[in-house]
Amino acid sequence: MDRNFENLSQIELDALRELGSIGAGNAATALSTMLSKRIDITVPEIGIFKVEEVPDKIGGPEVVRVGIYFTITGDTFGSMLLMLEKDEGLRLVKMMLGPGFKINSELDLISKSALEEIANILVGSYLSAFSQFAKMRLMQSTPAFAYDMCGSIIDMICIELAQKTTHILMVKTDFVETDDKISANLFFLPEPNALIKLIESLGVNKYESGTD
Amino acid sequence: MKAELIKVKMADVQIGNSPAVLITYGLGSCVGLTIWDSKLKWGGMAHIMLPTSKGFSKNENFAKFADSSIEYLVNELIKMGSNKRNLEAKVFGGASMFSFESKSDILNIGDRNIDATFNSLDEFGISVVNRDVGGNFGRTISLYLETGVVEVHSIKNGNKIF
Repeated sequence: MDRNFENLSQIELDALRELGSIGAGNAATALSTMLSKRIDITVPEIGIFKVEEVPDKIGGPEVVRVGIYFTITGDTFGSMLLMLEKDEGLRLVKMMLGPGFKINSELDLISKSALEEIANILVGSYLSAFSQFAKMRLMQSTPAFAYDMCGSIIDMICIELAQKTTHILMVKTDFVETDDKISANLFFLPEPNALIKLIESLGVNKYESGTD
Repeated sequence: MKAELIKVKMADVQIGNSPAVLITYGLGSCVGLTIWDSKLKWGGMAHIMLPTSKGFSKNENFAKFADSSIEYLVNELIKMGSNKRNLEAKVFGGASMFSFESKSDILNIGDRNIDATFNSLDEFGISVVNRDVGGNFGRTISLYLETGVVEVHSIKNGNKIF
């Protein structure tokens, strides 16, 4: 039976937001260590939308972004997607590779793999904090890179979810580096069954709907 | 005077009259379908996510699926006074945005969406006059209802006319 995300109680949403904070905090620390820069994070935003509303919710379908995508498997499953502007991505690459490295103004192979690596570290540390706290085994896929319109980057994730659910839950966190004005959005989109497991693992499995 | 711009969202179907322009942004694995009446200068656009409505609840948004969106579009245009023979379809999108090492069904969803769209159009006896499908890039499509021209915009190729 497809449990509807709309039935989540406030306490369950708070628990998920807290879990998101723990993951994001760990990810920010890892990124900060790697770049020797201060990285701030926003309080995770949790939203429940119709699947077809997702392109609007991530910034608009026609906006052009770099997107780095991971599938998550193991005890819970879903997708994680890091999105940022191309120029901010290039500044991030420069920060990572050092001032001596000449960066192309376009995304070449080196920039792409540097960004994939940054995303890999962010998502990896997000998930490791997550899995320790929720006592779950989680694995991430290799990163998949796209530079295109947001709608086209996100639609495969939407399609995947649309086969199982009408509504999705999305956890969004922003990572901000102030000096170079870099801001990246990290989106976590668990699948419906995964979400139930997640909530059960947190010990707050009280649905208000009473459908159970 | 600027022609009216009618936006078609993901899992959405819209119909318009000349000189309006129907537009949908950022198709990846989704399929953008246009059906245009060459005689009466009106038509519709669908932004399709999945191949078939079979196995889904009746309450689902019909515009998510190739079969039910096409059925709706064709029926509506005929209700308005279109003759099937004058309806011209064009099909766009169905890309594979990411390349993965492991393969699964979902990764071929673009191809499956394209196949389902062609099959369904064939069932309804609507001829496909042009297409720009597959690849690994996103597309924004605009249907100019006055001329039936579809402009495809992509980061990769700029603007192209179909």
